[in-house]
Parts: sequence; structure tokens; C-alpha cells
Amino acid sequence: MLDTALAQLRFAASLAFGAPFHVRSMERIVAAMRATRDEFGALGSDANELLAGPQLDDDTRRDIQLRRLRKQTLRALRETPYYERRLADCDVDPARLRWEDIARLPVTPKEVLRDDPDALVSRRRTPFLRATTTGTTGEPASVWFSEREVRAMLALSAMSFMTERLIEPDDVVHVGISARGTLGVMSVVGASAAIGACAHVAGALGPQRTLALLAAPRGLPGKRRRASVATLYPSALGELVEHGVRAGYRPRDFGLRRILLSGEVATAGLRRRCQALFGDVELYENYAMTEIAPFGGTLCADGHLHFEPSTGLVEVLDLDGAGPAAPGRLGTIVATPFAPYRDTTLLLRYDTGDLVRTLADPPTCSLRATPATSAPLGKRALAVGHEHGWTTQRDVLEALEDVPVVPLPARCALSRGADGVEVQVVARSDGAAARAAIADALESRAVPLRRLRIHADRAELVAALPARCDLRETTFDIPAPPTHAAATARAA
Amino acid sequence: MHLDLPITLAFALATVALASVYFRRLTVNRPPIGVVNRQDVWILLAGIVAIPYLYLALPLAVVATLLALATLGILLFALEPLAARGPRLMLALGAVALDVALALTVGTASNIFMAVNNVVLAIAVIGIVNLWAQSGMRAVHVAAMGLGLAVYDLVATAGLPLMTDLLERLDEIPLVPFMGWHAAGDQLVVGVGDLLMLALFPLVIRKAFGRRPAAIALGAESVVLVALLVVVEFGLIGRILPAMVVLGPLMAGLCAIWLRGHGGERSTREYLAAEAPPRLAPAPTLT
Repeated sequence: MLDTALAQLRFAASLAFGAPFHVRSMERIVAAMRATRDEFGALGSDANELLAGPQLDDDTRRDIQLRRLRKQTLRALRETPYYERRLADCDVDPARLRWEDIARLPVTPKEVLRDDPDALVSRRRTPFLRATTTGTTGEPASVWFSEREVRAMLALSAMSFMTERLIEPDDVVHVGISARGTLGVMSVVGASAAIGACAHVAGALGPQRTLALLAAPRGLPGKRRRASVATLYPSALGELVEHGVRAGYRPRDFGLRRILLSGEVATAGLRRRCQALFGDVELYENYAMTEIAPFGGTLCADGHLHFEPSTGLVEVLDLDGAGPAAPGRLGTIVATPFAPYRDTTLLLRYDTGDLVRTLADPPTCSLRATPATSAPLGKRALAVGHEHGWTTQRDVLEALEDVPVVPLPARCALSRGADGVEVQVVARSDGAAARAAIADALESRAVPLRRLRIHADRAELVAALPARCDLRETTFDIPAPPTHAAATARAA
Repeated sequence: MHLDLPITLAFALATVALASVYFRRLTVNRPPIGVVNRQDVWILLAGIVAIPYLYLALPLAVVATLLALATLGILLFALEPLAARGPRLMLALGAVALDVALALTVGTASNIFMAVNNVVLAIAVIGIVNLWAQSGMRAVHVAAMGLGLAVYDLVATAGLPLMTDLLERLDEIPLVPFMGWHAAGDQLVVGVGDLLMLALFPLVIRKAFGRRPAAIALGAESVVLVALLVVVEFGLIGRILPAMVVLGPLMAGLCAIWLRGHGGERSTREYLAAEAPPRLAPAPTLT
């Protein structure tokens, strides 16, 4: 207990002063959290505050963020070839950076991480792992991490999973995201190991195979009889729902307690319709991306996306590039992850290309002390601008996935039409009732629909929106999945 | 027979019994992350070995200040489940102030001082052992600590003049870490270390093995305590007796028997699930 107290002090010092993490202390805290849970059944009620630190008022938060941004900018200028060039032309002294100067710092586009990720690596760090994104909007980007960063991230995710109780020791965790999403896979597997749960890195398989794996009985000592936690892309969950219901699966065929969703827009329609297959399962959604990891967002019960201010600075820039988006306006997330969370690949004002809206009014939710935006609205590259503003992936997907005639995940395409947008969608029927239901749903989401084309086959879609469930991982010879009847017979 | 034997015994046994009542009825504010582990036992043992030397080496005024601050902190902690912040602070400060005032006015040789000091010491011991036991300390840790202290006691008390010197030196200051009573120009005392082990053992046995083993542990160590104090009172062996030399092996032996019988210790979660204690409502807090 005394060694844990010392480890907590070292960790708190890193959080408070931005000093490098002492990874062994973090791992010690994780081990103590597990021991505490084993002994008492749960962590103490103050554990979260102990690890996250106290809530900060606005002035203190801004002061801390500014100091960390100065430090990170100086480091980027001195230690990376890319920022040495970019900041040389920029009329800002990083050491005296003021809040109003931030907009004068250059925005870092995704292309830099696609074309030359090495140019962003600090000369003072030893890179260890090159993690790659899934490349939803083009060629995948890559980011180098040091061994210490990766170990710290694993410890941080274990702390987070344990305090949120997302994974329990008796859980069988099905990792159903692309194995190329190295950091995402490592985080879940590392957290499972720290918690005492077991993880199966199944990868992004087809829905039949995934359903069979989720329904398959397990014989692991001390563990649940079936997969109890799954990490999935929302589109993959949609695919499971569609195929599972059609194949005759029912909630009793599964043991899922929780599904962790990330990487895409998870719609209310998907959440509702997935109950037909998995019953009363808890869906947990967050915002994370390899490029800025471990900086990310947490969705609160009110649907806001909150960002921990000591981890990084988040800005929402107007789509016309004129500066910060005004309250209630659409913009892209521009993020600067801070040390000690990130000190190998340094990124300043990284344009994530992810759309959100700034909040029109201050939040009143439980996380109101941290900066917040709307929930993610999709990729800017996949949104369509028109005379009335912008139509985002979320606008369209929320509408389409709410309509039963549209199979999950909604396969659609979005393009600019005269004075609005044209939507193509795959639906079970193109009759008048289906067409009216889809058009009503789109209009209720304020989509200025000018033309609706309904297809029976997704191959007919022109420029379809990408879905991560299509990132299939195949093998030389995939054995035929057990049938639903066989799986239920084995379970019995 | 003088009164020092029954009164010292009564204070010591009441402390041990009340520690068990506190354990069953009150919840201490334990750290949200962390469980007492083997490393903590080593640190405690190191502290027990080092502290007497520290008390002998430091000026008495510094020792008294350290004892006063430590006692105040422990009292505040021990009283936390019983009283809100304001009354708790008043109680703890009042107890420490009264102890110091009596030591300065009537002297530490007075039984009025001894009575107050015994009560203060009892509350402190009850708080400390409950923090350890409710923070997940295992019976096997206490048994190991008992064996370690048995060896230490044999050397420090029986082999060296350390404990005699310590008794004589600390006898003059307030918040003296001994529980006892004066009679006929002599005094009978139980050291705080022995008292901590006596109070702690039944708690960890209750958590690990259940009610009956805890009752046996409490009974066995009470018999040993009575026997030891009688031996000292009637001068059958000497003025100072290394109690842990007897208590340490007794604790280790009992623990070994129950470990074998039960096949292992219960966790706090299992203990609470099996015998949910009747808890008192938490103390009201000012907001």
C-alpha cells in the first residue's frame, strides 16, 4: 500500500507538472488497482479523482494548457525536422506564446503523417512502434511511438477500463476491430491482461464468422461461458445485427454484456436495432484515433464529446478556415497532444478531419468542467457542402439507420445536388412507402434532400461512404462457420 | 495484589475487544487504491526496529512533539466514522491537549494522567489496527510480523537494555506509548507494539477465517496476556518481559492451523459477503 502511495505521487506529479511518466509507477498503480478489486470487489469511490486529478476551473485549465502548449511547441521546434521548417516561417515565439497567438501556429495536415511520419519524430526519443491508421479517407497515416509511450498508454487504458468497469476479471473479450489498428488492439488486450480478463483478437472477420465466435461456448476456468465484451466498429455491429437476426440468432444465444464502439458514427437507430440481436447490452462509445493517441474524447450521457485538458488541446476550426468555429457551428477537430502523454511523434494543431459542432451553450452535464463539443459527426472529406450549409455522415446515417427498411449498416452515398444533396441508399424495398419513410427520416434530420435513389444492391451505389466493416481480414482457408443450430446445440 | 494488575489488564483487554467491535460496526476511510501487502509488513517491521532508537536519540521535546502530532492525526482518523469534522477536531485536539496538560501539571507518574493516556492510546490503537485490517491486511502477514517481532523482542527486550532505556526515557513525557497503572510506587505497563498486535490479530483472523477462529484467537491471547502480566507483577521472571516471544509463535501457530483447515484466507469481499456486519450510519458531514 505504501509503494502504491508513492507510485500515485509520482503519477500525480507527471499529471500536474507534465514531467515524463515513470512507467513502472503506472504499472504499479495498475497492479494495485487489480489487487484492490480482488480484495474488496471494487475500487474506492475516490479512485477516479485520485487518478484524474481534481477538476479545474476555466482560468486554471487555460493556464495549464497554455504552458503545456508552449513546452510542446518549443520541443517540436528544437527536436523535429518538420516543425523546424514550419515554425521558422511563423512569426510566433513559442516561449512567449499567448492564447491569442495559437491561431498563428501552423495547422498540421494529415498528409504529413501519410508522406513523411519520420519528420515528426523527436531527435531525443527512440521510436519503437510505427502504428498505422485504417485509412478511411485515403492512404493510411502512420505514427511512431517510443516503448515508454506504448507502455504508458497500456497502463492508462488499463486504469481507464478498470475505473469505468468496462472489463471485469471474468470477461472474455472479443476484439473484432482490424488487427492493423495496432494501438486499439494493444490497448484492449493490455487492459484485459492487467485486469485479469482474457482477450481473443479475432480481427475484422465476416459477420457469420463473428456471430459464430460470439455465440460459441468457452471452457475457460473462471471466465464467462461466452464472449462477454466485444470491441467493434459500429458498421460491423450493424452487419452482425442484420445477418444475425436473419440467421435466427436471439439474445439468449449470446453472453455479451458490453460492446465498445469506436472509429465510426454509432447511430441511435443502430443502438435500438441491436437489441433485437443482443438484448439489453450496454453500448459504450468513445473518440480515439491513432494519430493523437492517447488524447481522445469521452462521450457523456448528454451526448457531448469531452476532452481531458491536461492530455491535449482541442480546437474546433471553422470549415472555411477562418479560425475557431463560432458557438453552435460546424468545424473540424484540431488537436495537440501534450507531453508526457506524447513525446516521440510531436504534433501541433493536427487537423483530424473529424467534424463536430461547437456547443451553443455551456454544458451542464457531469463532465462540464472539461472542454466539450458535440458528438463526432463524421469525416469532413465525406461531408457535403451546399447552399444550406453542410450535410454530415451522422445527419444521413442517423436518419437512414432509424428506418427498418434500410439494412444495417446503412450503405449509402451522398453527393451535392441542386440546392441540396442527393442520397443513394440500399434498402429492402423501393416502394412508395419505403421511399416516403426514408425521405421523411432524412428531412427530419434537416437533410436538404433533392434526390433519393434506392438500390437493391450496394454495388449499384456510386461513391459509397466507406464502412470499416469492409476491412475484412481473411485467411488462406476459412473453415465453414458452425451453423446457428450447431452452435446452440453445443451451448446446450 | 495491587490495583495495577486488574486496571492495566482491564484497559488492555477493553482496547482489544473494542477494536473488534469497531471492525464489525464501523468503516474506516481506507485509500481507494491499494491493499496492505508483504512490502508494507517489511516497512512496518523496519519502523518498529528503528523507532525506539529514534526516540532514544532525539531530544525529549522533539519526541514529545512527534508523538503529539502522530497521536492527533491518528485520533482524527479513528474518530472519522463516529463524528463530523468539527466535533472530531475538537475531540482529538481536546484529548491531546488534556494529556499534555496533565503531564505538565500532575505529572506522568499520576494515575489521573495514566487513565487519560490509556484512553487516548486505546483510541489510537483501535484506529491503527482497523486501518490495517480494513485495508486488506492478511492473517499470514500478521503471523509473519508476529514471528519477526518475537525475534526482535527477544533481542531488544531480553538481550539488550533497549526497552528498559526506552521505558525510563519516555516515562517523563506526555502521550507516552505505554498503557498501564501505578501502584505502590511501581508501575505495570503494556507497550503499544504489543497492544497493536493483540488488537490486530483477532481482526485479521475474523476476516480471513470467521467468527469462531476470531473468538479463539481473542481468548488465547487474553489468557497469555493475563499470564504475562501476572508473571511481571509478581516479579517471577523480571521487570520487563518480551511479550511477543510468546505471542508471536502463538499467532503464527494458530494462523497455520486455520490456513490448513480452511485452505486459504478469505478476501474482504468474501468476508463481507459471508458475514455482513451491522454497520452504524456514517457520521454526518458538513457541506
